[in-house]
Amino acid sequence: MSALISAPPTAQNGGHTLNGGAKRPSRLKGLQCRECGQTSEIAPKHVCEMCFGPLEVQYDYDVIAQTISREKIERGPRSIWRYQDLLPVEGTPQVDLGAGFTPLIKCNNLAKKLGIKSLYIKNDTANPTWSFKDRVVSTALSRAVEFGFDTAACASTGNLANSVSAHAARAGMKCYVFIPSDLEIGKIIGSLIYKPNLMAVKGNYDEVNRLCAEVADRTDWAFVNVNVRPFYSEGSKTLAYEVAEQLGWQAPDHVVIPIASGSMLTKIHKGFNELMKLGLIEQRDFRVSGAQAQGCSPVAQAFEDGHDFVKPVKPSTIAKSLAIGNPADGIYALDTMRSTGGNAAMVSDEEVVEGIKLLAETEGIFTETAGGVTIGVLKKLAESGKIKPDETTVAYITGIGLKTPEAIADHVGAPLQIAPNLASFEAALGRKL
Amino acid sequence: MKDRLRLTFEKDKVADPVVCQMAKQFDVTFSIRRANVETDAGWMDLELQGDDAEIERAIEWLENAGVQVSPAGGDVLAG
Ligand SMILES: Cc1ncc(COP(=O)(O)O)c(C=O)c1O
Ligand SMILES: [Zn+2]
Repeated sequence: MSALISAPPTAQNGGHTLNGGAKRPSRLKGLQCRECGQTSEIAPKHVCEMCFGPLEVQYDYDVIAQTISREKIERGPRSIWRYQDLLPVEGTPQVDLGAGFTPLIKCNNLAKKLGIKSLYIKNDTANPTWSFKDRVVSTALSRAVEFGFDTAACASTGNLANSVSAHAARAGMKCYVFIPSDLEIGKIIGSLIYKPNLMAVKGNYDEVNRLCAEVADRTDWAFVNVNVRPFYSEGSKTLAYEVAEQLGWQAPDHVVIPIASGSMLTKIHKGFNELMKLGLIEQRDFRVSGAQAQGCSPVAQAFEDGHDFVKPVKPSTIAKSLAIGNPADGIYALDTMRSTGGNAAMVSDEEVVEGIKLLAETEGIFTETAGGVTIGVLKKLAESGKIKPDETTVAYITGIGLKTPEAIADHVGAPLQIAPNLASFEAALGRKL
Repeated sequence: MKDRLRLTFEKDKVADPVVCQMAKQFDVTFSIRRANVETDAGWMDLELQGDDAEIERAIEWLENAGVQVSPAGGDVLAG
């Protein structure tokens, strides 16, 4: 086992054959519409032709069960690729910066503050471009290379842009990235450094969406969250696999997850369920709760209102990485939270800032606004008894604070200014040394 | 061109008449792919076909009629 990430093989390795060229029965059955059930071949497409429902990768779990085991996983690379048996990439992953295998940290200080007994933070700031997006992008682009794409693209409020730019550079792919022009500087530089074709679109989020949908329609690029979205979203399942493995091969009682499109939340749920189905962890109930910012809370609002559909909103929040007004997987996230007995909650921008500070001050982890949303909601759910004190709870912290310092710059005080002599320091200290 | 849209209605808007009126007033055709109308709100996914400018006008008209219009598959923009 090593953290070494080797260069991808230069020759395309489809990986379809095994031992003397015999074709291995495929783990991948095809794509299936989540709404009408229509099935089709594995291909770079994301909506059902019949009903516009989203397509999802279908696996043959009998085939997977024959090869997967805890031991095999534990011998694998210290990255998402130790779980490749459950990911939609067939050959050696071609686009790999070492995403995943991030720390799961027992957080006793924060737990005590919140009045719960057993709390863990999944610290997914510890990824190659400092957000969980590296999981989905490495998965999407590895698959895209297998499909034969030479260009990667996305439309993003920052984290996805950073991750696509970096992974495309690593893979030698051409890269087009669209961002709203009002993004935080850290997220702009965090893309530009990898030299993508970066388009800052002057317009509101609706206009950015419209333009990018048209571009995706008219190009033959791997738009990670459009035509290769079924493969992209599967990468988030690794957030469940890792937590289960890190907890000694078991699911927690309760998970708290931020929601933008709702994809990550539904896939973490799916990930734990797959491990149970395969007998890798014990069958048990667990609850899934979701976190949104008040300024963009279409899913949490629908949860509160008892609706089974999600009414799109115009986002206005400092949590730009969660500012997705018309979430593609919103209804599935709703379904997941309801069917598991979980909750959804929203927090104000002030609570987001408090959440960021609370996590940093109690546990030494500096998260971005999305993490502030998650901690704010975790606090709310704990204080209202919706997280029971004896539930083993995992909160997912999915992005780093250094990309969005402006969100908290006015809320962290300032250093004490002193002259370069002892007297000045002693004056600041309030005592003689 | 084709456009796949999600129309979302408040309780005071009844889905079908608005869509029919739109099709009468503009040179567009539509097919409803999925819909769900609850007592206090509802939505409908449809495909509009027609030329770009006419679709633009139809969408604008729907919005003025108090219907929320958004892309059917959800936002392309991600976090
Ligand atoms: C830091 C961070 N956390 C969470 C999310 C939510 O992702 P999803 O769209 O899968 O709900 C995003 C991006 O969208 C993000 O950037
Ligand atoms: Zn369908």
